[in-house]
Amino acid sequence: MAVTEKCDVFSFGVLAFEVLTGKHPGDLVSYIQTSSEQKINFKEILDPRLLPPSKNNILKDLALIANLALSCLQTNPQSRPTMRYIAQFLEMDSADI
Amino acid sequence: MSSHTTWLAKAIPATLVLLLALSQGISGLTQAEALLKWKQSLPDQPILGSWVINSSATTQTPCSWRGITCDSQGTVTIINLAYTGLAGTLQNLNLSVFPNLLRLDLKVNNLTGSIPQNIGVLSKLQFLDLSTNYLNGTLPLSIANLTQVFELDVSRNDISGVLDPGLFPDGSDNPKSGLIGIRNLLFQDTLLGGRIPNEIGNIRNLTLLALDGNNFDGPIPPSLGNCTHLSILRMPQNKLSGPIPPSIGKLTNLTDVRLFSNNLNGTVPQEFGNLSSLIVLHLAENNFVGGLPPEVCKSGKLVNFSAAFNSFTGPIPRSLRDCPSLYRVRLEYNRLTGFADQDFGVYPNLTYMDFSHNRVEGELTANWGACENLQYLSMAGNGVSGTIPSEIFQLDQLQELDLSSNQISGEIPPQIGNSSLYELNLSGNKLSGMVPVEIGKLSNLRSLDLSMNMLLGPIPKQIGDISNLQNLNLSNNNFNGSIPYQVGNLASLQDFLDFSYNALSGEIPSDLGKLSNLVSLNISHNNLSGPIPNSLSKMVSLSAINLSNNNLEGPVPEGGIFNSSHPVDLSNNKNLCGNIQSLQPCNGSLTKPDGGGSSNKKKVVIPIVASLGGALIVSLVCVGIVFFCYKRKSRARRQKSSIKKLNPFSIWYFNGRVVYGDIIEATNNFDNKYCIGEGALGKVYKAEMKGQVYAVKKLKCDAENLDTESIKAFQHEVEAMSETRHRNIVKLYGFCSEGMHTFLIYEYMNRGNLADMLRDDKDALELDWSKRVDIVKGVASALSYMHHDCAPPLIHRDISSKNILLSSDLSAHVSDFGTARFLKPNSPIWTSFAGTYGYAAPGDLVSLLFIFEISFVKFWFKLVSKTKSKFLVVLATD
Repeated sequence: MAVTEKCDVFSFGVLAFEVLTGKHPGDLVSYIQTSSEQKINFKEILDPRLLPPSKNNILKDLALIANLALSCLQTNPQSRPTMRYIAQFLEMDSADI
Repeated sequence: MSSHTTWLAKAIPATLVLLLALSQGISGLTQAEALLKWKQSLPDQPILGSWVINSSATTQTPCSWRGITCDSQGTVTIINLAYTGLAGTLQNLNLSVFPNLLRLDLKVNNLTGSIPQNIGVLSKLQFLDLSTNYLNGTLPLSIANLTQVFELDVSRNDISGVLDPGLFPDGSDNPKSGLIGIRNLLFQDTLLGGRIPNEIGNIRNLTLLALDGNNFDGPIPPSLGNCTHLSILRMPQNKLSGPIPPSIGKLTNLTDVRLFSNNLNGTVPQEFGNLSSLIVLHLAENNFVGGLPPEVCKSGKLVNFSAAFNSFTGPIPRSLRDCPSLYRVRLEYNRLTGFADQDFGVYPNLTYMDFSHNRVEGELTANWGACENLQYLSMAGNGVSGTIPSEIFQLDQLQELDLSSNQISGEIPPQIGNSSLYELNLSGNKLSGMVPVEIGKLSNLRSLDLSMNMLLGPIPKQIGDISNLQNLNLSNNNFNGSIPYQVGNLASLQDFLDFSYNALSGEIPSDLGKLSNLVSLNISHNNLSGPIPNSLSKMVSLSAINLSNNNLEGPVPEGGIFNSSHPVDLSNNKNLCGNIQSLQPCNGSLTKPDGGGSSNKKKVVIPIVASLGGALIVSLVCVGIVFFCYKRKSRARRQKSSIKKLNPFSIWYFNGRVVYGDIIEATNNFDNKYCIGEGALGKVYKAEMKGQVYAVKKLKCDAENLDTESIKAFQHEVEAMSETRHRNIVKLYGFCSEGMHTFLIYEYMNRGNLADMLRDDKDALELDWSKRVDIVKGVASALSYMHHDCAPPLIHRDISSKNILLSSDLSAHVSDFGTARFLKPNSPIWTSFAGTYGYAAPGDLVSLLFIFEISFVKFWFKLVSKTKSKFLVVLATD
């Protein structure tokens, strides 16, 4: 089978969830892969060893990471975003609503 | 005694209550005493200075005390100590002696402790404001007795727990308890959570409900649809889920609806568009799908509208075009379609418009120039075409303009000089022609990005007049001529100066050395010639420099960035020499570097590579070429003799001094106690050499043959990869081969890998949220670089937490490129599974069967010395 950069994108999604949850998110990943809803409450998966984030901007960043990671785990490689998209998204300042 | 009185008041018929109330009115002393008792329990504070017993007076009433108001009978009806800095608790305030209290206003003070459990005794209370204090505990259930209260505000306290359904009226026609009379209910920014009880919809007169910034979860109660007076509905920044109940779309008095930053999903009720009073609608940062309400501006009063960061599809609502009231609009990051020239009108009040990262087409129009109050305009990442209308630069309030990543063509209008922009991003378009000299008039400009266009001609010298510029990116255009020395006047330049991938010629102006705040300088991939000015070594802030792929020659300046461990890329120049990284040392006359390497280097092994990229390549190419080699193996043997005549590699030195013996010594001949890890290609050892610590990866290699073509391919790849440098990719210092061993020398990352850090409970705490965010950002940045900024693109294929190394500041560095490969359009399809199980994409797992294949394919490099200074790389398979 062809190797495309989308394989790295998938692995990045797994890695991002691992950083959020503090452990290999195998269960979460398989849940996401099988769930039709394709959504999670990111605050519930955060690494319980750390206090919940207090600053709003960190909270926003984490929510963004969770959402991006979610999109990386899509079964169809073509539906996954590119790393450039992800990197640019993460670098953007989230302005006030 | 006073509590006794209240007990009686409850137990005795109404007539008696009246009598008692009267008697209390007469005996103001009780109320004065209660207030004094409270005062005594509080820390001493001047604000209560007037609260004293006047010993000369015959009757004692508190009615003249600060913050106290009485009725004509001398009974306290209002306690208002808002904004007085009041500290202490409410525990010693005997509320039961104030049966006639109508208003209790203690907002914006320093009160601590909990809300008194018996607050419900204030049965006539109409107004209760305890907001902005430090009150904690839960909401007392007796609040349900405050049936007369029309405004209740406990916002901005540390109140926790849930909203008990009993706080609200039951659904009957004549409810006996609950907040029956409430109109304004505010619980903003507390620690309250749980579900919002459906009973909240039984409050008939509810007009304002503000639950911003709590931990409420579950659905929005559909019963709110019964609150027909509801005008302001604010529930942002909770964890609410599910769809917006359609019943809410029918609340025709709604003026202000804020639901952003929740987990709401489904479609937005189309009725929202029919709300004829709507002024504010915030739907951003949820998981909404479907279309935006088509008539969202039916009221003609819509001022503030956000739908950003959802998955909205369909067209931009037509109604937004004729909506002159708009002040702030955020639609970014959806999948909205539309036309930039048809879907937007002229908005005299508009200050902020962002519809970036959607699927908007059409042309840029001069209409934007008529939005006189515009401060921020972004339509990046769409398919907008046309030319930049000069009118846009007449907007004297405009601070930030982002038109990047569209299809905009034509020239940059000279009127740009009229603008007072702070940030301008036109990158990734099809702009052509020359940059107008008027650009020098943009005296406020902090950030200018014109990269990835087709701009040509010389860089105008007036660019040096943009005195506040902090970032300048002109890369990937067709600029020619020399770099104007005036660039050196940009004293505010800070983050980066990037002129790479142009056709700039001439010498590097020494004035660039004046940029003492500049962190990153990239002028690679031009035709610059002559020497590197000495002044560049004096740039004290510089921590990355790329001068590669030019025609530079002569000695590299000593000191500064050039003798630091920061990324320095000087590769692919004409004839540079010096005592650093990849270069030949300059000999006495500073001419030919050739004669330099010599007799004293007997044991020196050959550091190939030097640049990070080079490094990658070596390992990469290893892999990439295996396939290639495999097919050519037999032919290679035949051509063995001819290989030795080639010298396809420039020789990279590892700081020009690391020798094989040093590595052997530092690792005690690769003793296991120095082993710090194992990668795809071999074990990694920690080696301290000459005071510096390195990670040395020993490849599992031995020697064979290789043909000319393979070597050439390898050479090309090495050249391409020698540009690979990134702060989040582990740095490769060199490549070294001698005798039995071949190894790669990397930057040492003293915090080990991310997997180990996360596994250890103590280390995991050190990785706080902000560091974790940075780690994810770093990895994303590195991968984006590899996929999109490397030509050909480079795929890692084994991203996992074990391969993310952490430096002392805990920043992420992608490592172990042993399985990486280049992505080429015509390359043979690579079937081996290379990843780590659990990180690999599902498709990859299919090829897990092939994982064994790679272990049969052994390969490595060997540097074969031909003369003392010339070496070949031999790559082989068995």
